Amino acid sequence: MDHGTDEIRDHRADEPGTRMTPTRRVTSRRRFLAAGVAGFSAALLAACSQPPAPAKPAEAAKPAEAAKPAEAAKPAVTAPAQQPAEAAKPAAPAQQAPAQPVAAGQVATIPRNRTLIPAGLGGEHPGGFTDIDNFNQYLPGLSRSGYTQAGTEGLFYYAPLNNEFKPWLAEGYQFGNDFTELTLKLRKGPAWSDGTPFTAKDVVFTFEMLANEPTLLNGADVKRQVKSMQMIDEQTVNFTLNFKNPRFVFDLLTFRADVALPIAPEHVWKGQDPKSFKNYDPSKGWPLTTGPYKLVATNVEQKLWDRRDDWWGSKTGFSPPPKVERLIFLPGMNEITMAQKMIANEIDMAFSFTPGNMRAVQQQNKKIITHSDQPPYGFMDWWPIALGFNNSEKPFDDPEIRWAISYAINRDQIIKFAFQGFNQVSALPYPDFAGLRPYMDAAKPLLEKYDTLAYDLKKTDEIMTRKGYKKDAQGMWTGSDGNKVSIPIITFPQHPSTTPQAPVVTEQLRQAGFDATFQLPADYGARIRTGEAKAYLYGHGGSMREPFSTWDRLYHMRHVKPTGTDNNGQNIYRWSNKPFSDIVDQMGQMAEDDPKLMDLWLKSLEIWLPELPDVQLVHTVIPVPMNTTYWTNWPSAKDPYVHEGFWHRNALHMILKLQPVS
Amino acid sequence: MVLRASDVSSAAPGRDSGGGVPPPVDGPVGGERPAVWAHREPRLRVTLLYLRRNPRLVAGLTILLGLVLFWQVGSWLMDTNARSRPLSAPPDMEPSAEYWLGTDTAGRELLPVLIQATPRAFEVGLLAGFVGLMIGTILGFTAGYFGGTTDTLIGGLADTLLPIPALAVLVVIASTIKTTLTVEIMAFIVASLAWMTPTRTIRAQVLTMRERAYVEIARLSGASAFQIIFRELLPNLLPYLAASFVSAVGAAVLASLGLEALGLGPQNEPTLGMTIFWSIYYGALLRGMWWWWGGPLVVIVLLFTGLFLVAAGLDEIANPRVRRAV
Repeated sequence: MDHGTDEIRDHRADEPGTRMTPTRRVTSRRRFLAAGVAGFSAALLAACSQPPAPAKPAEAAKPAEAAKPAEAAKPAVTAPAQQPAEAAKPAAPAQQAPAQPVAAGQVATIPRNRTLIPAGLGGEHPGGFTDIDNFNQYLPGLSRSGYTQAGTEGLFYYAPLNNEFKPWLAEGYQFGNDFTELTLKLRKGPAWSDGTPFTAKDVVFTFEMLANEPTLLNGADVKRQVKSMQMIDEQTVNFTLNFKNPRFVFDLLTFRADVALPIAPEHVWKGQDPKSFKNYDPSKGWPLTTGPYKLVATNVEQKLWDRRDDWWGSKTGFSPPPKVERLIFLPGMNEITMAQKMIANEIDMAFSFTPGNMRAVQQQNKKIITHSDQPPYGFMDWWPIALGFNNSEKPFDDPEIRWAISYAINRDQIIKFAFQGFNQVSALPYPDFAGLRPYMDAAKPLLEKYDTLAYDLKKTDEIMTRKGYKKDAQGMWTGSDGNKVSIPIITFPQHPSTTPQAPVVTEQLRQAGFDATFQLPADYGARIRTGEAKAYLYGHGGSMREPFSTWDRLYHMRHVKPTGTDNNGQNIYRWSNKPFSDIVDQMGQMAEDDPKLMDLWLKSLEIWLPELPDVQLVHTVIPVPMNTTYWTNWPSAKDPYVHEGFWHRNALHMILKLQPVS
Repeated sequence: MVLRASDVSSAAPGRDSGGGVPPPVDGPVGGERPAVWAHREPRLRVTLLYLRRNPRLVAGLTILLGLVLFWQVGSWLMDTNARSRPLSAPPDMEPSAEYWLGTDTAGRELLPVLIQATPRAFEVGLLAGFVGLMIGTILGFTAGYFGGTTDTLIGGLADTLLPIPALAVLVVIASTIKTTLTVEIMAFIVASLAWMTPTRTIRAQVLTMRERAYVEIARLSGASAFQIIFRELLPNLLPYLAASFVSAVGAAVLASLGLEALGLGPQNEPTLGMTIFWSIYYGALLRGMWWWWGGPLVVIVLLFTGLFLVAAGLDEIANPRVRRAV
């Protein structure tokens, strides 16, 4: 082969539009390889020389950028990140591309310092979201990944730490006819994210839908409580209730922690089967929201919600718009992962840390704060923990056995080992909130008689012996049938309030002669709701300012279903007691400030305490680490404007108050 | 009369270079044994001489023996059962004269935990490795010897399951188990996905072996398939199976450690993976509690090094190609 010709041909081959011919094959391959290596090296160098990515937001934006090649030619904005005037513009070096209007299916670039990233939810969906394309809030098991906090708004809100009741989508309400009628007045101005006004039509439709489908969340409550509804005008609904029900507004219409029913847009849900409708279609902007955020991306790893500039709250002057432009919810993950992300400023807040991890994180990142700098560091949650049982199964159907188990548990030891001292015992299934304290104080004489916190192995022995159990050679209680008293406990795989207790409680029970074991299954929730779990460590979510709600949700016999049937998480103990339930019904008909409520509370306790449906352990105190690198004005013990449980429905009020650092 | 392959072949496996399996020598029927066997040296001396030539096997066995001694002597020295349980010691203690390897946050003393956990790792490995290899051997022989539709079905099933990440499937299985997990249940979960590789490799070995002359002779002599498999093929595959078994044990230990470290293993008896799970849960790395994860790590490293060396040593016996020059 002529070398000179080959060279010339090679040059031609490099020219655009020149086709390579078979005669140049050898040289072309070499050149191709060389070019490939050079290209790869250049790409590698370019990748390595990029500034560190600001965690998720920039990554999330990449597909959108890739889809817009023409924009690559635009000059990048390189203004320094710290200038306050740049707040509305992309500023940080890693977020150089200017924010673009979001087309369908695309995600805009939003700076890290305008993004709030909470990780871990409430411990659920560990490792990844499983409800990627399902935004039906009326089905159990939906993740708390932004929709209930930032998309959906409540008619009313209640914040237990400062005992504040706040009308929101509703303006107010008026009971009539001895609490059997209610007039609900909606605010004028709220609208759905597609521009349709939020009206009484939506409220009436939602209640009718739930009344017709009692299997949906709150469905049974609506069916039981509401006789009829009537839309008076676009802002007014009249309810006729089935019985005297002074708590109707607080129980069903007031967003607090994880409860109260959200309102659905009638023009979307009408004609859909609410049991199977997913409420997700990005091309139609579903799920619609009234809140200041809309869904822009959902996948296994994260859910992104971007601020809506057309939010009714800021348009009408009801509330200033939130400074947070994007919310990124990350699923449940283990503490060490969250701790590492927190130290690296990749996330702004995380689900509860155990005290040791909280200290370690704060030592390594001075920007991390928590509710209080004093023990127990966290906020008091509404979720005191108990060892629950399926009371419809033997041997847990016997109150004396439940008391024998209670006497076998040393709560102080739980606090020492599982919480390194940072928690407090809980004698009754109620949180230590201001509104509830008078009731807890009144219960003290009864608690002296029925000491739910007593640790007394002699009493355990006495009860078990009386019940006909004998200890075998290994010191385990054995029944006349030769079987040990098996207590197979389950709880969350990763929950700072329940998981650390599992080995401690199990060991205490073993030392007392019970054949206790524990497991941390991923489907713990379903097992508890169906009664498949015989014993479990779980919390009580009920009352916040008076005792009725816990009694009614968690212990009323009307919720009891056969083992194997999901009861939507109500009365998970499957404890059935008619006299108790009758008293609870009477309590439900009294206003919260009725002095007779206290008498009924004590009467109900006189039944509940000897029965002890579940064994009381400790409170849930949640230390949420909050990062002040990008955001400030976090809730705290000094300013508990709302609690910082970002997985709860009140989270919107925290988001609205947060201020960017730069 | 049915002739056995061992009657016609040298007892020394792998004299030719016919691949990874010790192929029998196709000698004359009823021929005399080679002269070297006529003056048999004492067995112990032969073994020792061989071990001198196979230092990897010696090193591996020494490490594994050391681990066995660790738990045997440890169990003899202290009440490991009581001291390895939660609440048996103050929480978060550094190693000291009283607590040699310190304690964890739940009050488990970590030395007894290791003493209790080490044999459990062996137990899971041996049990799962054995069950997996047994299933693999049966299916491999069936597929390889009988061929046809049986081979297609078994091979197809193994090939389908092989590329699926075992840990992902094991996580699903382990998380749906409704009863309290024990080490034995765990072993069977691990074994449920530990049979595909043995099935494939043993099938391949059987495919080559079944065409050999001594098998042909046995077949001509009227031996049944059962007899050929168990009396002709299996004895010749034993060294290979031994090496495979050690590898299978290692793989089973690894799979069980993965499940345990994710919190899906037995929680009520100390295991190495469970110790790592709780050390991760409580942020031992972050909190500088090196003694919590350090001990299990050392045992795991020793265990895998020992198993690897033994497998390499056995492979040398089974596969002459990797045998070093003497």
